[in-house]
Amino acid sequence: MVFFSELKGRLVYDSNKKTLGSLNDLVFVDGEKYAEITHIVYIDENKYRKKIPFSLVNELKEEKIANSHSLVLNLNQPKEKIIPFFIKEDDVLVGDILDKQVVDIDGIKVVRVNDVLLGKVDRNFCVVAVAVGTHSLLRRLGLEKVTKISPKSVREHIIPWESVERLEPKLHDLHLKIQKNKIADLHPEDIADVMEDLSFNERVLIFNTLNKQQAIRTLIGAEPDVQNSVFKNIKVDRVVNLLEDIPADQAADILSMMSPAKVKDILLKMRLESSSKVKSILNYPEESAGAIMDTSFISVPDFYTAQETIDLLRKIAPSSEKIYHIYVVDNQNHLQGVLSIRGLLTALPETKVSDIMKKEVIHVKTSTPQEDIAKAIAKYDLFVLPVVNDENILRGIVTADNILTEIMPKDWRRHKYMPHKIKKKRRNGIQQTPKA
Amino acid sequence: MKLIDKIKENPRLAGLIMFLSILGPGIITGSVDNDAGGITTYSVAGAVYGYKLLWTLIPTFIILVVVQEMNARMGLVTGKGLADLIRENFGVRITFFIFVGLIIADIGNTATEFAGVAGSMMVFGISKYISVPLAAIAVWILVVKGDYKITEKIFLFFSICLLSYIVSAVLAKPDWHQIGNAFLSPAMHFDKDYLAMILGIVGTTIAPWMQFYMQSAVIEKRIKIGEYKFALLDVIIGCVATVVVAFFIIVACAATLHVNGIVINEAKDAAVALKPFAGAFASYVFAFALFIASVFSATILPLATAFYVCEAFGFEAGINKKLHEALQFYALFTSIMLIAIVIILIPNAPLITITIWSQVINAMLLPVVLMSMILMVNNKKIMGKYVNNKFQNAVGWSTTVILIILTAMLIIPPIISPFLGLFK
Repeated sequence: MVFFSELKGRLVYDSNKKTLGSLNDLVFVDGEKYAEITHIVYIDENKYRKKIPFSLVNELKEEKIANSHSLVLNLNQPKEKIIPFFIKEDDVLVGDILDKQVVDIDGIKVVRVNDVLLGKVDRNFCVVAVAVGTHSLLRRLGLEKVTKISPKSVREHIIPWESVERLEPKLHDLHLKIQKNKIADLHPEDIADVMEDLSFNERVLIFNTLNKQQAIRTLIGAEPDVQNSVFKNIKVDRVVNLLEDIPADQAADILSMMSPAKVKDILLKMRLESSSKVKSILNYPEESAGAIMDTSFISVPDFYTAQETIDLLRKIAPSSEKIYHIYVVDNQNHLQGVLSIRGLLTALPETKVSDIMKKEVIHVKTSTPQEDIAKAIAKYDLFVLPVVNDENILRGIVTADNILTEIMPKDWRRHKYMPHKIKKKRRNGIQQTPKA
Repeated sequence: MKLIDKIKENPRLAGLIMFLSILGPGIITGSVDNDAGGITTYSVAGAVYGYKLLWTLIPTFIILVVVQEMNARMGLVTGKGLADLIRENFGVRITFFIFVGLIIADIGNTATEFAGVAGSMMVFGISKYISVPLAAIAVWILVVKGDYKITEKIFLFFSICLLSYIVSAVLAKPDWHQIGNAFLSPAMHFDKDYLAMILGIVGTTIAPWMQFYMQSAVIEKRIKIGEYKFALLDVIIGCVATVVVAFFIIVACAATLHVNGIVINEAKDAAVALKPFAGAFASYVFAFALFIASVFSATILPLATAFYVCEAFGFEAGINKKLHEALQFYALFTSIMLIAIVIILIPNAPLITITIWSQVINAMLLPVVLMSMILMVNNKKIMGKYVNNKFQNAVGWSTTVILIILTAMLIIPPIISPFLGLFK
């Protein structure tokens, strides 16, 4: 394995030991498994940059030139038989990633590439990893000897290519289906973190590769300036499109971050039923149950049986926080009671829910301030609370996780917490199972 | 939503917010430009040379506008900071040299800010051994605990104090005839001190660190390329503000100090320039203005420098990061401040001389940064269709060349003359 900085500027000889030029760059193709080097680029005697297929390279050797050892590239053909080409617009060069910022998917941050590690993988010469950090920086500056004096802290910091997401795709990368979109593997909250370190063009670039669900969750989890970058750069129609298919409370969250004029514009363009739901949420006082509640919840009519309820749950397959408490409502949606999953499973299938349910339901009103909600959740050991309006009509639910996010001190939210993750390592296309 | 409610309740607050919200990067940069280095350099220029150096303000203004506009345009089009762009386009080695230069220049600039603190507090009779360490602690608190936006607004509010120079200059009844002549027939001397002064004026008005700062400020404001006209207006207003204040400081000092042959050895000597306006309170007004300007700049400078170096070399940076996460950032920021403070605390350190020479170093670094900017801003791959026009390139290149020549004229003679003596 060799670093690109060690190769650049080295002499290229043909099979008769005649000089072709000095190595300037390498063309590679970022595929599903490998980032294979397809051509070498050299500067010929007329100072032009020319490229030739990598298959012409016979070996990389260390030779004695003058009084120092140096790497040279030996080709397997004589000069006369070699036809060089010019570099094309959509050729991707190693030099294109050097000194640029890329996303480290594993570390979930943006880093700057100081050097590129090349090596043989399954008989192909490929881009294996990028080097970031101080050691590679010193090597680029020719000060590698300095690192031998300093302590272990100045270690080589290498990021495998499969964990690197580039930020400046070129024309041919429009075939994104072939090349894996690695950022999409991250949790939306982590994507939001990464976006913080990018310039606004790069943020929009990443945002546009996300699907609807990811896009919304990323937006909600992002810091205000990231949100602003995205809003300023995507069209109103795209926002409307995104907002129409998500729960009204999430849409309201997003809209509350935008300027009133824009919100008006967007609400006008949305379908009436979506916009009226959103509008009613926006009208709740800030930091009240109404403003933070989740408007998608599970409720069953009071004439349902236990079996019908279980069938409904199977059909919807709700998330974990919503499955434990199922609310019972009358035909006008007034809150009548609450069912526990335990009660449902242990009752006889034909029992009416009105007989299983607990009629005294601990609940909050849409106007209840968030501190009171937090106190109720703590006091009654709940992890979800139903929210009703003044006429006792069920409007939404507040989960412990919702309220935690709201009452947490703002600067706690800023420090990125890195949980220890069990990572799946992909080697040569074979997936290894995660360690237990 | 909450802030909007508060504003609706209080109309006076609404007016203030409106005013402050339209303050753009150009205006803010323009105000920060009038720091301890600026006030001192302009004061000395006026005191020593009277109106003779006023003509330098015109080319300086033109260069300032062109350079700031380039930065604003680069920020708008690429969305990237200047440090980022330099690293991406010129590779590690050149970036390394530019940033070593920037660190040295900024240690000098930070020393200047602390010199300003020391000098202004000496007016109140406080020794520099007390005022400087206390100011350093205040700066540290501002950086770690303070809210930048609020600090910025407070500082801008106090920079209104600089308007007192305008009043002073007028009340001092300067010879407007002479001023006019100074512009129409500029005087050019080739002695070391005059040249240094010219470089100092250029260096303090167009400090390289300000270029990085300005571009970041533009990006922070997230102005779209469609709003370019507003950004340009903001830049021009900022530059006009800087140069107008510079003009009046020079005139005020010329009319009060120069005519009476008063030499500026310490900050309090410069305060005399405000006597026509403030009478007996002149020294206090001056000291106060100088102190605020110095503390604020002493906060931004090391921070900004550390930030840009980290940006260029890929180190983690930011005050919201913990110490072990952003080791290089904190180390840089702290060392710049410490070295600057040590320089100032050396017994009998000539504060005024240090100040002027740190601005000269700025002017020496400027051609290098300017050249890299010009090359990038003319590159279609980076700027698309928003490359420079012929006028901008002409100004850019001629400035670079002239600054290099002036620097050479300043530096080379002292180096060569001992050798010339050998041939006699």
